[in-house]
Amino acid sequence: MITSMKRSLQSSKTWYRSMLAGNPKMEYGAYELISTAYGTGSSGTITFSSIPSTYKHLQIRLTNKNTNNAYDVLYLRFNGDSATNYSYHTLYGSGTSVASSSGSSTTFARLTGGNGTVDGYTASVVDVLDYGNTSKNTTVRVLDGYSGASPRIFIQSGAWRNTAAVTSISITDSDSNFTTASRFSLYGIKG
Amino acid sequence: MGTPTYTPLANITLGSSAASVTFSSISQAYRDLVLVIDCSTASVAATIVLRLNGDTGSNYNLVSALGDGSSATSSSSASVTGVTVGQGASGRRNLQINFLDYSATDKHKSLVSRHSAAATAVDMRAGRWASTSTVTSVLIYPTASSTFDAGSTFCLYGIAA
Repeated sequence: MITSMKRSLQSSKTWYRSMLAGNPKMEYGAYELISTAYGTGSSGTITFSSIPSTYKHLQIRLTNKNTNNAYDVLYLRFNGDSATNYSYHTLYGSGTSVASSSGSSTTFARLTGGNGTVDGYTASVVDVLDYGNTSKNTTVRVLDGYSGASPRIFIQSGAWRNTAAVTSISITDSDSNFTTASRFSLYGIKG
Repeated sequence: MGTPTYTPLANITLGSSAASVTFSSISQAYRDLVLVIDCSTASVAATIVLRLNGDTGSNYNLVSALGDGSSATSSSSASVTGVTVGQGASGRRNLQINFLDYSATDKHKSLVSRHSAAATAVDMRAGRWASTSTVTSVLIYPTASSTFDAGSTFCLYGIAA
């Protein structure tokens, strides 16, 4: 039980003697929105930079489509690294069969790009785990897909072979630009 | 500092069996919805289907990939009357369904989901409701004239962007 609180020299702070009803509820979120970006129609890259180091994990939630109205792969990269320091595996359904693909020593971790369906956007949930830990490489897990022309549902794994803390993330369409209705949101998860 | 989000919007625990569950008057203050379901159904043949905004028309499309322990298969459906988010299964199962950009009016509504039924199969799906309307209600129901068992839980969360 809090019995006293000395007022800070900062007059802008509000101190409460108790947390009983009547005082505004104080909410501590474990899941926080860091930043949201939208496609511009003239660029195929979205970058989140100066990512705070105060979270344990990151999550990116995005819906995307490209201006070519075609199926593309998205390149996920960390800290501006476009060298062959990535690998990935995919397991996916095409509507007729299940298949898998992989890449080792690639220049990107893989996300699913836009599809050819008008008004149809690819939905992706991307988890970047323990991104600030400098004792391990960064790993990624993805659930994404779209339903429309040549539909696809993917689970994907990715790795960035670098123990540096992640400070920036870029997502690049392999072939064209993101539409203005494409949305990319970065969240931090405390741990 | 980030903005706290991932807000619980509704939490339903069935006190008795039910033929369906509906979340209505969904707040438009968020950008994504996450629906987390832990349930069982009276019939093991029952798939779990969802519809949006009460739309019973042939306005849904989906693709799935499923593994049942002996084989992996994929299927797709176009212009159907609902999105199947869970295969028929015995015992308890859980689903997490992500609706991205549910409150946007410039695109069809997309979802990705995972369904886990340890006694039967694991599957993942992508779905699309061919409407640019915002999502204001979500209906979930089991097929095969089945019901959700008592104790099944359905939790809806909103995520801001």
